[in-house]
Amino acid sequence: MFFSKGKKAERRAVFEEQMLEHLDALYGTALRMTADRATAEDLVQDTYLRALRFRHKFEPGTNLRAWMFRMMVNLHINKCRRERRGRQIHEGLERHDMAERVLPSEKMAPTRRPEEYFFERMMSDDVARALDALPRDFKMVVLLADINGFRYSQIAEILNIPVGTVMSRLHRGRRLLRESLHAFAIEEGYIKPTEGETADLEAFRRSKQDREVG
Amino acid sequence: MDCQEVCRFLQVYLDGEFDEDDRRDVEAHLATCAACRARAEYERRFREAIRARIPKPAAPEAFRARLVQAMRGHRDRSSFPRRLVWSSVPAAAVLALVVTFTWTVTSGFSPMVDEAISRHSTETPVEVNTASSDEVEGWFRAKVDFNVALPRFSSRRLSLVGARLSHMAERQAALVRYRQGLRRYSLLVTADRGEAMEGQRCQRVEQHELCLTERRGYSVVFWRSRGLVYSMVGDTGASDLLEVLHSALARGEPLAP
Repeated sequence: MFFSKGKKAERRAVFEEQMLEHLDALYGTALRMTADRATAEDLVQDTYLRALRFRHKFEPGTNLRAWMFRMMVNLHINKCRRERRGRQIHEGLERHDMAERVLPSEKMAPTRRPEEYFFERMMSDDVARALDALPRDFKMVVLLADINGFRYSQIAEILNIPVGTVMSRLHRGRRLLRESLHAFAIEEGYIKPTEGETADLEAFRRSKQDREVG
Repeated sequence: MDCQEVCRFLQVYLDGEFDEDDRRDVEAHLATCAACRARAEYERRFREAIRARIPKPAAPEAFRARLVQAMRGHRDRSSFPRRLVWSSVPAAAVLALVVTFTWTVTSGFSPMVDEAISRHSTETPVEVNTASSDEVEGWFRAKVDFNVALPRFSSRRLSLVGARLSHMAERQAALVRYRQGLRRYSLLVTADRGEAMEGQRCQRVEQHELCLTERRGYSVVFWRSRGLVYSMVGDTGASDLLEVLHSALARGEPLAP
């Protein structure tokens, strides 16, 4: 009996250690999700304690990092929901639905000039600001795919949405990100708007391409 | 695949989500179409730029340490009776302490209690952000006219958040914030002017007279030590607050060093 207890403790210690390998990734993402250090720390700590409590539900051999991300996202969503209920504010989801509705269908921005790689001259702060400004649903998929390297199927599982939705949110999220970065780039003088072009360069290009394709 | 199809699936291809056949189709097209190649290059570089520029902060060491502590506490709680987990002292010593905790009832009039609760419940930002009691004590040294000395709590999940200047009963006060999971505690330290101690119940524990009040969902404990008055407020019931105080007392440490 003592032996089995010792084994159990050992298994738990190994599990704790494996979980801690993902601390930086979870913390970095939590910071972007909450935009506040103390709240991010609370969220991550709650995630770890919950993961410990439910560790028997983790299937060995599956992706522990994805499992923990899923737990963290669920905790965060539940917390936001509670807070929203408390304050009777519903702006969140409705605004995102709206964003998804009004966005035009997926098109690629064509590339013609070297300054179009303007994003390579941007600073970390600009990228962080642009990402933080994305509607939450888009921000989450971009965070999970481009920052944490999760695959579509893993993101679908973490966010509990279909793979098709992951794809469309990811593509639109990236485009929104590029558009707001482009606006920053003009605002901050990284690039100059040429004649006839305003900060809404991407919109101009899209409409042009629509004409070309259509 | 033609340009339009490649354009539609370019992101999927770049995300590495295509199977071998589809991937070969896209690559065959890219090899012959300069426009699509340029598009792919643009997308690829955009993604790389974002990836390289998004700040990826490592978890602060202090937080990592707290988290490890919290997990350890969680482990202990799940394998021992709850009452005995908050300290590593021998169970008998803890029990003795709990048993001797019987309260005497005193007057219920207590404006200091309301003031302490008000300082605690107002979300003022901390001016010094550190988990170290030594640093907090040092920070106050040139700012208040008394020598701030903080209790060393050993409760596993209690962590120091930071501190700020405050006031209490029309005198300077050091306001120190703690956190235990979702619970918040505040400790106010002021110079002792010899007023009567306030509390619904008072009890002598070791060398301290602790006076406890529960009000509006908060609990407040006052005690005095070496010319200072301490008030600890928690948005919890009295038993949780006392458990935190026990964690210092049970180690044989005074509530004010």
